[in-house]
Amino acid sequence: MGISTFPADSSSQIASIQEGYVGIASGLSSGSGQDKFYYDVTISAVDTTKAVATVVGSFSFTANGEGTYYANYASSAIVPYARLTSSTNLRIHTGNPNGSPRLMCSWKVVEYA
Amino acid sequence: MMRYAQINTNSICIAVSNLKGEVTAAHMIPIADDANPIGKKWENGTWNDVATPITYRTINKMEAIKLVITHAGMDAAAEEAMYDDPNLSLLWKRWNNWVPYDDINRDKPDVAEFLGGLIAAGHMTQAQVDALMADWPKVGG
Repeated sequence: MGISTFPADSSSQIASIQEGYVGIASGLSSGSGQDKFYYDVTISAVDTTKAVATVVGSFSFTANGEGTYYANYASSAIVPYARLTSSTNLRIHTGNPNGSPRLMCSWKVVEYA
Repeated sequence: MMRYAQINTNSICIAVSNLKGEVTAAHMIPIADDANPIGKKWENGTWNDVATPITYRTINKMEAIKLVITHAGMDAAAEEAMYDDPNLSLLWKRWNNWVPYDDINRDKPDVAEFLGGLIAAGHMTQAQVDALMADWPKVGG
């Protein structure tokens, strides 16, 4: 007995895949909580009840306000997440950094049939 | 697949997306499949490079003193005279006690005070200080 996963022919269950990347030198929007810093990406409309958004890979910096930039490492990493805030909006967001983060990441939105 | 560049309010491309269908929005610019205009500015229908602002890095005291010596053209005697100048007694005390070793920031007041003191005491000229500031180490430089 194993763990239930996708059907063998899982590709037939996928309605669409959208992907892209974000490269922001500065200017992330500021909010609160998990949206302390975020950027909204416009996508083609998906059914949010059947779609999954993920960050595939990322790289980030934090500026200390005095012109110095630090690549983030494990203990203070800026970890970006992705979620759909509407059928046409993907939000790349992070709640943990201080300072002014610079963020680069790739993302994917998979919509299932 | 439709490929778009997403621009921010300054018309700078900050995202490239491969979308499943057409999107009509002022901030979504259709681009070729192999185009990557990240960081470029969308102006009058073309992507233009944006000048990168200069960012100066924080240096340590040894680097700062070397900048002074180099730009003032000091030999060993002139360097020693600078250290021993009684007119700079307070300046050196502040430099040694107030300024962290590895946190010399070009735009902080203590740098201006320090260099201003060297000018006032005749160890540097304004032109030499200007040249020093222009040569201040840069991020990535």
